[in-house]
Amino acid sequence: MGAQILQVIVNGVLLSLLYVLLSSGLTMIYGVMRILNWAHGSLVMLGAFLVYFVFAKHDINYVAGLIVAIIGMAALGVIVERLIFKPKRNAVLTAFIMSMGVLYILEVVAEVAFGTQSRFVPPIIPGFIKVGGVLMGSNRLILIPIALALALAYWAFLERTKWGRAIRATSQNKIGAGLAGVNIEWMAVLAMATGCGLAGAAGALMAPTIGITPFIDTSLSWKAFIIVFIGGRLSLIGTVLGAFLVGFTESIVTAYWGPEWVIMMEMAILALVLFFRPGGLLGVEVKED
Amino acid sequence: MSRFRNLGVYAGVAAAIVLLFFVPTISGGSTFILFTATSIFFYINLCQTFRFINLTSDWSFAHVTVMGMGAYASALLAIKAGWPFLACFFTASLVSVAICLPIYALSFKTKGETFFWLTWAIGEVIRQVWIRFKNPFGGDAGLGNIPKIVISLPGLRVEFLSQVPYYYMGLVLTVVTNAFLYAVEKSRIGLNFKVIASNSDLASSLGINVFRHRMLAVVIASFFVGFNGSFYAHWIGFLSPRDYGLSFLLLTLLYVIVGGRQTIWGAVMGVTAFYLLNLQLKPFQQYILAVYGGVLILVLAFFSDGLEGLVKLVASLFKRVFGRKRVATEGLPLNRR
Repeated sequence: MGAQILQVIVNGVLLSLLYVLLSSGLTMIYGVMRILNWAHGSLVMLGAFLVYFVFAKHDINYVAGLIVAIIGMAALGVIVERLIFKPKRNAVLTAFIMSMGVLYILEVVAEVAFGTQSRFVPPIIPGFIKVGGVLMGSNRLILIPIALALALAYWAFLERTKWGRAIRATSQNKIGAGLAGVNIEWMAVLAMATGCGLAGAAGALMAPTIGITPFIDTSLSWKAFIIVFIGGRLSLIGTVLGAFLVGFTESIVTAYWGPEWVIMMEMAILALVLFFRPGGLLGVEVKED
Repeated sequence: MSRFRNLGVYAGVAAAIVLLFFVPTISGGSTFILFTATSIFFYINLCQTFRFINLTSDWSFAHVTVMGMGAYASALLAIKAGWPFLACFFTASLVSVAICLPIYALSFKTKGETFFWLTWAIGEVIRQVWIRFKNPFGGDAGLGNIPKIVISLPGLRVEFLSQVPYYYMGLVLTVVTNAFLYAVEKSRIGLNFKVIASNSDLASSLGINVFRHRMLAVVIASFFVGFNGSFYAHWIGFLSPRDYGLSFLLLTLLYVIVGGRQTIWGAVMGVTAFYLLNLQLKPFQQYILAVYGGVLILVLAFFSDGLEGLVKLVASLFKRVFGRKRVATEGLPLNRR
């Protein structure tokens, strides 16, 4: 019993950290541009494929794959933002439907480029470690510090740098930030680049633990959106809270009930949260401007 | 003048319907053509009811699930309880209305993106119930062996053995649904809907009960979409919970957006145009989702009024080139007009 609990906790922490990476970018993008990007999941999927391409297929090391995934997805995010979302800021529904279109295009691109069968990335460090009398894949244990480091780096970027402060200011009050001399256009690009880069990183970190197909994008988008809407669309701390809530729900439900109940539980939580607190757990009700 | 123009439109629609009644004869009973036409009818009903909800509130992503509830109810009553088709058909629509009441009563507290996420979440919970509970919903594999339509009234028994009767049933269903929705939209209630859509605060200050009108709109839409779901279940003979995820929803959004949302013609044009396009795209089935996505993006980016807007644009150009130039005469004295 104790062994299972430890397993559940380790899995929960890993999933939660991955989900923090997955969804905090979405929150910042929404904050700065009022755009809900449904194609976020396909960026994660493409990030995972890039790691597969670099690390598994061409056998260059994993960190290189991670960096390629981050930079590649940041670039793709900026391209999508410039081409498609830029004229549709503040038109949330229109931009959302357009991002559905983007998701399907990227899905078909991945299908043509990588095929439809499941791809597997070998573990970064093969073998097992005994923790507290429980055997655990060292692969999972090495992913936790990497994910934590990336999340902390993003946090430090937002809290401690000038650009980070400017992004947060834009997210809180666009006009005020503009008056204070923040270049809103540049902030939009920066938010999109960092957010999508994090999505790529999440994909790169997920890659060794799952089978990668072009069709995982929708479920990943679901996850990201559930987290963002549970936590509160404008609150980064809320998003982290939502990520931990969803991560541990998934880990616990998978261990005790079975994986097929996960999405139903999460949806039920989401519906309850939206009903009682439409702005999310830590969010405020978004005013239409 | 406008009354006469409307008369022309009505006459045109009546002529088109009469023409549609002869399609099975003209096409020589071709199963392919009739099946395609029946699919078009099905999607027109789905899109039209979706647009009807959209008249008063934001986009409801639970609408497809409401239809699915009707379809499942009808199929289960026919399979498990052996009810005759007509009883299933009407019960399905009542079930759809019954399920839509709590969903929307809860959801109308919110608006904007929260509204569509709340409706989507509720719809997804219902869909997961269909997947999880093999008994009675058939689970992930779907619900098969739904009996074909047999209409048995005293002294009359019609078995739907080929595609032709399904075509006629779809046609009648489409005409009835569209006529009713059109009549409501053009009535005083429809005017109230429009006020609510443009400014709900203003509407309630004018004494329009916003919540009640929104509920009325979704009840009407769910009532008709329940019929549509039941018809689909018995026509295809198979229900899969996968369809009620993104698949139907994406198609509905696509048709409504491409067709246009301003008038009742948008959905009709959107569905028909896409089916014609689809026939041309047969060799590229693998990339069809990317094509849909691209069309969605292009239409929303450059032509958010859809086909309807295109028709309007062409009509106005036509009028400008060939019509009588009324504007130029406006300032002239009466005898020189």
